[in-house]
Amino acid sequence: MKVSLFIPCLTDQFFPDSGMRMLRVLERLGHEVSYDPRQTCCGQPAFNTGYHHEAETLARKFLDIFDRDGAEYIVAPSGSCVTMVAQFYGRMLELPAPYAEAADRVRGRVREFTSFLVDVLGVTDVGAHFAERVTVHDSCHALRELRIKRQPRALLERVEGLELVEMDAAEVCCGFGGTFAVKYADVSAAMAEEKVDSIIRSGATVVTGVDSSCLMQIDGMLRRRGSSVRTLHIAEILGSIS
Amino acid sequence: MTHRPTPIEPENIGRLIAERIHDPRLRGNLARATTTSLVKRAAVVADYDDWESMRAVAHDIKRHVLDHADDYLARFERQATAAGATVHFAGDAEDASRLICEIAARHGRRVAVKSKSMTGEEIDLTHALERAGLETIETDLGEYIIQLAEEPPSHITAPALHKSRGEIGQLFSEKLGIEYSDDPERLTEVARAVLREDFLRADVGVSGVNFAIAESGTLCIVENEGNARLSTTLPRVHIAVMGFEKLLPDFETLSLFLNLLGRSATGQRLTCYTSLITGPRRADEHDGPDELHIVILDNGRARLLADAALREALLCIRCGACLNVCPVYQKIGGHGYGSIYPGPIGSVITPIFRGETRAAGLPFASSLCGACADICPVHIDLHHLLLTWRARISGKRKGKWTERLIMWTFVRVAARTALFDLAGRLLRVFGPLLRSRDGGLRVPIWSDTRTFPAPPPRSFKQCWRADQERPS
Amino acid sequence: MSARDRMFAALRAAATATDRDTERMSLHARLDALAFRAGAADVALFTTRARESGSTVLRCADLSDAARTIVALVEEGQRCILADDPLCASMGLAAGLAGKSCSVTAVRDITLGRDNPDARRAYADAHVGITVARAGLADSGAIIISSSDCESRSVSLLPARHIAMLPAGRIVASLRQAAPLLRHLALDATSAVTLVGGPSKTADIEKVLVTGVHGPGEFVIVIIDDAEGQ
Repeated sequence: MKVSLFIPCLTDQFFPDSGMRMLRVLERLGHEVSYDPRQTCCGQPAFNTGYHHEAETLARKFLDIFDRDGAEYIVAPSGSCVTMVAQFYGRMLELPAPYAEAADRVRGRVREFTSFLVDVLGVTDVGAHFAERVTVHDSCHALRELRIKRQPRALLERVEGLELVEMDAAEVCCGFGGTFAVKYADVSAAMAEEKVDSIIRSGATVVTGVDSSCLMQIDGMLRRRGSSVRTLHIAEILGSIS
Repeated sequence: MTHRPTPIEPENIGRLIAERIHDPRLRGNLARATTTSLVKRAAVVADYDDWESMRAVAHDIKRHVLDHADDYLARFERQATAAGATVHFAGDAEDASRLICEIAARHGRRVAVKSKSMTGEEIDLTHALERAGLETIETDLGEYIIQLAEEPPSHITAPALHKSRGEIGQLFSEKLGIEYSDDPERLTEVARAVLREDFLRADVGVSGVNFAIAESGTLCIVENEGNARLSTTLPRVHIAVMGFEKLLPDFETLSLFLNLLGRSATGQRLTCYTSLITGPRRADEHDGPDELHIVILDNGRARLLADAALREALLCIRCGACLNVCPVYQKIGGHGYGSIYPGPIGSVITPIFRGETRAAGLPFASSLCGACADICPVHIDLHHLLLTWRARISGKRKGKWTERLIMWTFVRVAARTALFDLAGRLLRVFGPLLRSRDGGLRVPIWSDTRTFPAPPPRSFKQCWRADQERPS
Repeated sequence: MSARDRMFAALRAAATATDRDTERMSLHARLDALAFRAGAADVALFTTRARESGSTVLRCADLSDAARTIVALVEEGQRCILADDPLCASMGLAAGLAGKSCSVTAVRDITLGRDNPDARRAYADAHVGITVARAGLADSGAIIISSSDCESRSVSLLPARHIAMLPAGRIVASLRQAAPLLRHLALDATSAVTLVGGPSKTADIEKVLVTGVHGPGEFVIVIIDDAEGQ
C-alpha cells in the first residue's frame, strides 16, 4: 500500500526518532512509504489559540502537499495533529472553496499511526521486542476525537517481553493543551504532577502514548521530579527489534 | 498591612488562580468532592446500556424546544396564567432584579427565604433583595454556608464544595455563636434549627426552576434537602426566576430529563424531591402560596439563541458534571474562574453574561481535553464551543501583543519550508546557549515548572534525507 | 416594545420553519425506544431502589395489616397528622393510633390559611405525617404525592417523619409511564405534585451524607398488596 508520512512540526524538530521508527515499522510491513519534505506544520497551535487566519495559511499549505500525494493513506505519529486535519479542517476551521473540498478528501485518508495499523491494516503483531513494564497515557484528542483507546494496547500486548500495566486515571489529561501549557502554566503543571503521580504508582518503567506533545509534558515533569521512569512514543517501542 | 482578597470577577482570573493553585487544603477539598461525585455518578449511569442514546435524544429534544421556543413559551405562558400564575418578562439582570424586588416588597413584606438558583446568582438577586430592604435568607445548606461566609458559590450544584468541615465549623461557631464542631451531622442540625424558624416567619419564597413544562404551565424544581419545597409552600408569595431555555414540551420528555439530571448532578436515580408546581394554591387546597410569579429572563440568552455557533450552550441543564470531571476545575475550584458559572460551561456562557472583554481569559483556561463533552448529559460539545470563543477573542485581536507576535512569526516561518528548516537548524546550533540548569532548553514560563527537551542533533527531515542517501 | 414582545420577537426570529408537532412525535418515538422506558413495574425492584435511596420499605398484605404496621411504627404519645384519604378512613388508622395515646389530627382540621402561624407550628411540631401515594416508580423507588382537598403539602414536609402508604397496584415501571398521571394532576387537579425519593438529605459538607436537613429525616413507604378493602 502507498502510505504518505505526515510528520508534525514537534516530531520533526524534537522527536525525530518516533518518526523514523514509524517509518521503519511501515516499511517492515511491506508498504511503500513516501515523505514530502515540503511539509512543516498543520496549523494546530494557531488554531487552538484562536488564530484562524494564521491557521488557514498553514492548512492550505498542508492541503496543497497532501491532497495530491498519490498515497492511499496519510499516517502520522500523533492523534492531535490528525484530529486537526480530520476533524477541524473545513469544519471548525473555515476554508475557502477549493480547500474545503480538499479537506473532505484528505479527511478520509488521514490516520493516526496505531489506528492505521489496527483499524486499517488489521495488524497487531509488528514483531517488536521490548522488555520493560509499560503504561499507556491516553491523549485527549486521540481518545475523545478519534476514539483511540484499544489500538495502542492491542499493539503493545503483542510486543515480546513487554509487560503492560494500567495506571489509574489513564484517561485524565496531562495538562499540555498547546498554548494552555504556558498561558496557565501553573494549572498545566499541577495537572502534569497528578499524571506523573499516577504513572509512578503504576510501577511502570516506561510511559508511552500516541502523541509526542503529551509525552513532552509528562517527561518534563518526570525529569523535574528526578524520576527514573522514561517516556517513549509508541512508535519507538513498536520499532524496537531484538 | 491587611490582605485584601482579589474580587471574584472574571477579569481577575490570573490572580485568582495564582492565589489558589498552591493551596493544598483547597486542592484536597476539591479532589474529595469531585471524585465522590464522579464515582457516584458512574454507579447509576451503569443502570442503562443506552446512556449514549439517552444523551442524544435529550440533546435533540432541547434543540427542538429552542427551534420552536416562541411556540413553547407562548403555550407555557398561557397555561401558567390559566392556572393562576402571573408571568413576567425581564430583558436583563437589572430588569429581573427590579421586578422581583418590587413584587417581593409589596404590602410591607419583609422576610424572603430563597432556595438555590443559579439564575438567581446570575442576576445577583440576594443582594438586590437585601438592598430593597428584605431580610433574605439562603436556605440550601451549601448556599447558607457561603452566605454566612459572604462568598459567591464555587460550584453549580454544590456551592460550598471548596470548604472543609473544619472551615465550616469555624464559620458556624463565629457567626452563629455555637460551640465549635466539625461534625457534618451536628452542623446540619444547627442549620436546620435556625432555618426552620426562618421558614415559619417568611413572607416571600424565591426559587429557581429546573424545567418548565409548556403543555401545563408547570414548574419543575429538583432538590434533596426540602428547602425548595418549604420556600414554595409556606410563604404567601412564591417568585420563581428562570431563563426561557428551561422549557420542555411535556411530561414525557420531562421523564427523560429527570433521569439524566439526578444521575449527572449527584449520582442519584432521582433527587429526593421533585416539585411540580402548577399555579398557586387552589381553592380546595390546604396550603401553598396565594400568589405565584414566574419571571422569565433573557439576559443574553436571545443573543445566544441567534448565534448558530454557540447556541448549543442553551441546552445546558446545570447538572455540574462538567465541573466535576474537569481537571482544571479540580485544581482551581469555582472561585478560580472569577465567575458565578465556573468550569467548562461557565467559560462558554460567562462571556455572554459578563461581556467577552471581561471574560476573555476564560475560554483559554482549559486544556481542551474534552472530558466535559463526554460527560455532559445533553451532549454539548463544550470544548468545541471554547474553541469558537477563542477564535472570536483572538480574531478581535484581544490577545496579548506578545502572543500575537509569536503566532504571526511562527506562521510566517512555518509557511515557508526553507525558513522553517533554517529556524530548526538555528535552534540546533544556538540551543546549547539556551540551556536550562536542568539540561533542557530554557523556555520562558514552561521551564519554571517543567523541563523542556533539548533539541536533538538532527531533525526528522535530516534523518530521513540521510536515510535516503544511504545505499540500500 | 415591552420585554415580553422583545423576547418573543427574538425567539420567533430564531425559530425554524419545521413542523413542531411532527418533530415532537418523532422525538417521543425515540424516547420510547430507550431502555429506561422498558423496565418492569416490579415491587421487588421498587423496594430495592427505595432502600438504596435511604427510604424504609415495609410490605403489608392488606389494609388491616398496614394499619397494624403503621401503629407499631409510631411511638407512644407522638403527634400525628393524617391525610383525609378514603384509604386511611377505611383502615381505621386514627383509632389504632389513638389507642397508643397518640394525638391524631386530620389535615382538614388544620387551617393553614393566611397568616396562621399556629397551623404551621402544628405541622412543624408533629412527629409523623401520614399520606397516601398516587403512584410508585419502580426504577427509582420514588413515590408520587399530590396536594388536594384531603392532603396538604405540609403533611409530608414539616413533620420529622413521613409515612406514605402505597397500594402495590400503583407501582409503574418508570416516570415515563407516570407521565399521563402527572399531566392529569397538573391540568385538572392540583397545584403541587411531589416525587419523593427518600428522606431529606444533604451532602453539602464534604460530600458527607446527612439525612433530615429541612424535610423529614425519616421516610417510610408501606406497600399494601391488597388495598381494595376487606
